[in-house]
Amino acid sequence: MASSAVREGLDLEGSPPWRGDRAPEEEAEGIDHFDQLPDALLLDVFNRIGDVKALGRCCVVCRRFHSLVPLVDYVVVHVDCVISEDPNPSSSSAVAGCGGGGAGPDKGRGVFSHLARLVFGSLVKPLQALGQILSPAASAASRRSSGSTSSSSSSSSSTSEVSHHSPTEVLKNFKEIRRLRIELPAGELRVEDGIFLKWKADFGSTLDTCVILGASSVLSSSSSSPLSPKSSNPDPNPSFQDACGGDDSGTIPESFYTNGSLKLRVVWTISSLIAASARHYLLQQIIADHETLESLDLTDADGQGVLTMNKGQLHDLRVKPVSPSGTLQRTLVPALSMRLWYAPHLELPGGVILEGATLVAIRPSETPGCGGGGIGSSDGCWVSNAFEEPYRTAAKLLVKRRNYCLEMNSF
Amino acid sequence: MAEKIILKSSDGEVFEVEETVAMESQTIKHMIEDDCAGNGIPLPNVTSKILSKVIEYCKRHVEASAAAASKYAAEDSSSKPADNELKAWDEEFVRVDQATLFDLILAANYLNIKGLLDLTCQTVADMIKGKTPEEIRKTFNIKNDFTPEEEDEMKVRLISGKSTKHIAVVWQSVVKATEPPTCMRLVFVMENGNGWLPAVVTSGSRASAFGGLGEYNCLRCCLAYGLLR
Repeated sequence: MASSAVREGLDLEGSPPWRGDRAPEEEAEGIDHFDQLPDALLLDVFNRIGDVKALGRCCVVCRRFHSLVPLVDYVVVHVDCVISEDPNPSSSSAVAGCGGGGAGPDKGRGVFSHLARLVFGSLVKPLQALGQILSPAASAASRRSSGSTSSSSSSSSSTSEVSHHSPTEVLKNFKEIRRLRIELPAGELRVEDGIFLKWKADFGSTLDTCVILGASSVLSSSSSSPLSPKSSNPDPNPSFQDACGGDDSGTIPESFYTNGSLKLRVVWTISSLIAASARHYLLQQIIADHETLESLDLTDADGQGVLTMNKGQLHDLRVKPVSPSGTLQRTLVPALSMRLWYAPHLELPGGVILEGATLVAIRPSETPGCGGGGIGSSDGCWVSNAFEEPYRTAAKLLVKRRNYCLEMNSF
Repeated sequence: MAEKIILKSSDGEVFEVEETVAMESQTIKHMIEDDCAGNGIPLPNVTSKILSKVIEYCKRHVEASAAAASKYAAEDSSSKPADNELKAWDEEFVRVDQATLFDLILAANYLNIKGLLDLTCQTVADMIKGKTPEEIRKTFNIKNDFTPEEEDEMKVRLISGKSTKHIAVVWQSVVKATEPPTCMRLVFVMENGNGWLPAVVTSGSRASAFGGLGEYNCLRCCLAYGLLR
């Protein structure tokens, strides 16, 4: 049954219901106060709107708005959904026999995700799926292939198909963006219940730094008693002894290496790096389209991963284009130097408790000042400032402990 | 003893304010530093009504900065309640009619008061967010100066990336293919996984979807006219 409930990428008719304004209506007077504002001030107002759909609506209000909206310098794109497509129908059938976790009849599994599932146990969603929404070239290619092979034949008779527009297309109208934020609907990494995982990476033409914070479980202490049982007043700056629950010398217990905990954390690390490098790879077209970009953030609604690029890094990328990792849709990650900190039990202000808390700080091995396979303690601030509270405190507490060094080859 | 600065509004009213409060305005600050403030500063672009509001804002924020500074000196990190209070005060401050709000924007711009400019412009931006174009026009009494054809063109471009020329061609075929015609004017052409499929038809502002046979014919027409990739 054909429904008129079509949702467009930039919807004009179906936006949320009227929200009452603070100021009383002035229909009786009929004055358009925008006439008083010079273009520069009107542009200032538009620069504070952010949401690209709202900007699209402004574009069709009147001629003046239409001419000014493309000049805004700040845009936020909320991606509604990520579409699963199958860009490599032949290769996926080749590895179909390998089977992995019971993933069911899903369509968009490329080669890499199959391998990932085999090795890492279903941590990584089809990253190629991002390609459909972020890269029109890839999406055109996949549509051709999906027409013949995929099981989406049902869509030909579907009458209420949502029309999808990639951020790249949507942003084509804006010529002067300086700050861009794209928000994916969800984090790419599917983790088991209870596991907490957050990453923050910044990239130039390749990975510059990455910080990962993970925990095997997160609890909240419901008691309202002060943080440390020893002191009587709440201490806003807990010592790490108190936070780690008593006499903990800060070393990593032996069991960590043998009971699979280290291996699990390596898996978290690799998955986070894969997610980050995939996001980076897909941003190339947008970065190429917008010469005026000075800052770029690619986040997700779950708050799982944040990829940032600042002005210098964007410049690096334009000067030295991205090298892909083989045929995979992600940037090559260089050889890395990593430091891992671990605390079996970490109490944070506000009553959050992280069990099996892990912090990993990653940098390419070739970074100057990174000799001897370590990350200089003077660089500590990029690690401890990677996340917002309460996790900022967690990072600060963890870096005070002893650490474990890892090296990883490029992949 | 705190210095007092004289400010004169466009309608001749005289305001005496402390120097620290007046210096919230970069414009006035430069005038004071350049020693032009002798007999009072004339502000021909600002009425007394607006100037009194601006002074109220500056006073409140100077007080807040002073309080924050003393707290910092006392190493008291509990600034959150004060921040929330200030925020609430700001929200109340901009709860005014549109004329006043826009006058405040102009005054903040002229007097170069960043905080007030941020606050007032953000307020207008928030009033725009979440509204349809028609609602925006209604709220601000903006005249729609597009022709109907231009409006259609923009809507089609926004949604489909195609021009109305393609659509017009399809419509002609549709009218012939389905008797009696099921649409008045085909405006929106939506894309599905296999190509272009007309999904919404409008007659003026009424939107209704193609159903059943009509859709299929539309699809055939689109195929015929090379609108499928």
